[in-house]
Amino acid sequence: MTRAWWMFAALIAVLALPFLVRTRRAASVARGATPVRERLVIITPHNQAVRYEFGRAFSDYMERKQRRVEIDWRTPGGSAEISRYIGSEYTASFERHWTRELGRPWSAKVASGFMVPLRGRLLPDEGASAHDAFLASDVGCGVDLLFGGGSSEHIRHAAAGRLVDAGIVARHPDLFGPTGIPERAGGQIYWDRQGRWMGVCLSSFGICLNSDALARQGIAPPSSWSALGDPKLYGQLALADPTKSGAVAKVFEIIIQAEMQRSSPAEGWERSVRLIRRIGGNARYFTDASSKVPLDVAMGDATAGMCIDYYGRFQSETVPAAGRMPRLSFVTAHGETAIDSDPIGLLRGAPHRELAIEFIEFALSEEGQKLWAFRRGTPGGPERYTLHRLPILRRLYAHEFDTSRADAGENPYDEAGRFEYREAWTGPFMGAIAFVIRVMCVDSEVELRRAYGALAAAGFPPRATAAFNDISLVDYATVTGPIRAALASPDPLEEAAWARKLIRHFRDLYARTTALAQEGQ
Amino acid sequence: MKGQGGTRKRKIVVAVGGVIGALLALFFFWPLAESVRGAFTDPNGRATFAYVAAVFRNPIYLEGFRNSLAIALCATVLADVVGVGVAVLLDRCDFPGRRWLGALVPLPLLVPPFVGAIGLKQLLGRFGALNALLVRFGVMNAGRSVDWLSEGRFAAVVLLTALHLYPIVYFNAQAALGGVNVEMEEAAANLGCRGFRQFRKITLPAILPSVFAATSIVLIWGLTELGVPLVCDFPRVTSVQIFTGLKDIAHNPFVYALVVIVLGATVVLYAASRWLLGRTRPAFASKGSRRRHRRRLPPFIGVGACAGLAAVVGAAALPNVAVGLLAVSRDWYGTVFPAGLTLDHFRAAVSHDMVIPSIGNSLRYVTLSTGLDLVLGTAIAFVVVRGRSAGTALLDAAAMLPLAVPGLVMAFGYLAISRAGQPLSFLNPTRDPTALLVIAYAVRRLPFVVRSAAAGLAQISLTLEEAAANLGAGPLRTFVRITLPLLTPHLLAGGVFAFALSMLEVSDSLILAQRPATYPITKAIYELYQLLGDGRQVAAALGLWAMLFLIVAIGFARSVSGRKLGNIFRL
Repeated sequence: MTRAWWMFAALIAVLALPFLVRTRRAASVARGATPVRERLVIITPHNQAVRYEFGRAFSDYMERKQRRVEIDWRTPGGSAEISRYIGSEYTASFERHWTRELGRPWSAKVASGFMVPLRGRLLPDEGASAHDAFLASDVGCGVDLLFGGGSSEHIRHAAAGRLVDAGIVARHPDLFGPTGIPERAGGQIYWDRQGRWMGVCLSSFGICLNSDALARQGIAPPSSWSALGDPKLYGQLALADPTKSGAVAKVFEIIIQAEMQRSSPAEGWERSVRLIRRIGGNARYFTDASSKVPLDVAMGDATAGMCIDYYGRFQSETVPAAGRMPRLSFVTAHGETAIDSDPIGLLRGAPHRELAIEFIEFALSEEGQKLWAFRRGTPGGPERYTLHRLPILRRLYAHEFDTSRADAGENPYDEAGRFEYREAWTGPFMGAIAFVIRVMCVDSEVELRRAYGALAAAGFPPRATAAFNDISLVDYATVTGPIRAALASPDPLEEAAWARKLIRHFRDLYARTTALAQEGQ
Repeated sequence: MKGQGGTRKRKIVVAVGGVIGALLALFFFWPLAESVRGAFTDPNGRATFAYVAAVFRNPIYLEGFRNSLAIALCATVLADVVGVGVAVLLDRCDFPGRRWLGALVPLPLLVPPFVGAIGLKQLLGRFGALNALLVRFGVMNAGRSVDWLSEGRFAAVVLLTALHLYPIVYFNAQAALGGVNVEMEEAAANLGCRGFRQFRKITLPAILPSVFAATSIVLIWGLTELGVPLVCDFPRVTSVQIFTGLKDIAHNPFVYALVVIVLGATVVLYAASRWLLGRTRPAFASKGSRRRHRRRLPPFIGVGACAGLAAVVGAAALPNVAVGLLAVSRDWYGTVFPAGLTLDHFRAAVSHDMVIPSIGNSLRYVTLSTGLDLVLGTAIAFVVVRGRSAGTALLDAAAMLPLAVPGLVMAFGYLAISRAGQPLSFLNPTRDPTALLVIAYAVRRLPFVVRSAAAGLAQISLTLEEAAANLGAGPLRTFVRITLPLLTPHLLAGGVFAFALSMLEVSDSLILAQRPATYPITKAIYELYQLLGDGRQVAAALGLWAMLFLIVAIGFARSVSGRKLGNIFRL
């Protein structure tokens, strides 16, 4: 029994350990030091660092207005999980509204059509009528705000009718316009004219690098997208799947647009597909989580990777330096990157609409913007985490804030002028582009890597290189025509048929390349 | 008298089976149907099998399925050999370090998969400890370091899966070895049947039911294993295809078709293992009355046994050791051991607002779910083992199916059945996820308790229950006075296992716990893990605490059970 008592004491000690070593603030939060009267529900893919800083700062901000507010963060996962969660909640809610309040029968067409914008339809049908009813309703999903996820996600939610006008754009004409936040910069949209969403910070894209791994192998640091296709980086790139993340899809879209700007859309497309294939041939893996890229590069498991700016900067700051050089560095692909906005939007049927609008105004205020930009511990800055995000308010880039800003050398408004994003070139068929990249590189990853390795080992013999560069089945006309149409079809079997056809094509192509390269042809 | 008793028993079996069936229908098949409905419904709402058929025409999906089957089979064979070997060595022989090495066996199961993955990467990455060691000894050129997790991915996945799952075979084999009649082995020895021949002729047939029970679990687990192929960046495996497909921004019905196919494969594999189990049931599986004494190995052989066991147990426990070191390291990059130690990561972990509540939440959810598992698992095992019919076989297979369904799929199903307007809307997790998380954990871990209880019941001779019935005891009294005490060690083993795995459950926790105040530990670890910067170390610190807690909790359960129950995992 003595042994049992010892084990019991050990159990109590292990249970007590976290309580003994936690900080005073955590203890007071756990005890519920401040009784909360109001609650704001926000769904977000932002990580704990952003949630902590904004949750704390907004509570303090509202406390000054004599209101005790707590944020109820909902975090079902990344953009895909959030989209699925919101979609299913709106479907359930609208079904009740449609059948009980409007007294109409629920059908598959209503279910699949009530969140599809009218522009996407060939003829008005039952689904169109349901969409009108949805837009006229105050049906909710139990959440007030969608915070983060990239502009393309917000554009999609707004088009489906899930986001509504918060009245902020109309109420603050000084904030939205040429003197404040531009509606567009470098071709990117920063806020919605109908006021359904507005960017609160900015993001650019680039390359994160492990200086140790580069030095060990004597490779010069790549600073452009095309340098990532260099066979010296074979098997050493950390890449992410563009069909899993809006941010990753954006990176590939930028690579394509950069090539298009050097020639024409059709020719640029062909050049970019070949470049992406070379980059894919160098991949160590294609991950489904874009945050894995800087982590693996910092650990040296990959030598370089494509990533969003704040992932690279944040990780770079916290990883110890290797000698004089930082172990992990982030390089913006200057002149080859768009500056995208990361927005916030008010959800239809928000249960705490007035408080939600307060939060949006706080996020756009100088006080909120400093949280994105300032180093932790600086006056007005974040308390625990430096977020390394680029604020959307121009005045935060004034020299007076240089000493507080974590990335004082960066001004995205300068960078935005160097690259003009042309939405019409790639935007309408971005789904088809991501699909082609997935099939060509992610689904055929093993065969592609083998082919590129054989090609590089053989010194790029002409026939094998020609086979590798073949893009007959994914030329510009096919991607923007039949493949795009198949993806837009309500029948998923059409997409599956294309996937099957392309997978077989690429596997054959890469096998042929490997064989030709091994024969030195 | 016996006829009346038999009728009453059949009625009880039917009633219990009916209640269990209804509960499974409500909390397993309904949410599952809600989740996979998309696999059988075309855009016009009509039923279709075209999506399932399309999966079989896609070469990538087919290759993924072939790889999954191959991984499951290879890992199962390896886990069986290692698990049974370790169990026999620890149960029958005495040698230096036996106790310490035996205590390390459960470690691979006591770490959340993604935390274990951090440890593995720390060891096997390009700048990991193994390469640093090889470079230091001049075996490897620093500029040409090997990417262990990337080279030979199939072999790496098989090896890591087997090392992760072999404790399941070990626990079952060791429990069965404890139940093998000593007199039988002594009689065999007296007749000249000794050594390996005795093991093959007497011991192995006696423990085969338990080993097959574990094999079915390992096989199905191997088929649906997600963490290991994800860590090794091996995407062409069905589980990874389902996991990544669920993350598609656009709706992808083929993911659900894949789930249906995995479910079908699980049922077939399980039926096959049941058939084998039926063929191997020994006639002399009753427990002996005498205590067994371990054979002291000669010094030279003892040291060899210790070294061999240390190699196997140590290799399997390395990720845990790495997690422990990472949790206290200032920096660990390109060196064999961490460069500098610190407790900052612990402070950072527990100073998060969500961490302390998450510990209480997890204890509440998991205690309730384990209690539910014990009640349901015992009832199902009773129905399955004592009431043999087509219906009970169906119930048995149904209770095993949760092993085959990815947690993410079930989680979305639970959300669907509890949203506003649904009959179970009062369970909606946005208000309080306790009920749904308890149900989700219980359903997902039910197969382990069922197998454990069924293996125990199979070892309890029917003649004992029949004797009680002949002396006038009713079915309930017989169960409480005769069956339950003999079954308790098995239930304790299954319960501890379910408790530990539920503490480490990830998928349901990620989706169903949506407010920080309701997060269980795994979601808190996952949130910390996602933090860039020192997120991995901070997550490792909380992961280490969770491991410590489970080790001490299991140790406490062992010490409390004392002589009456012997060892939790040694019956």
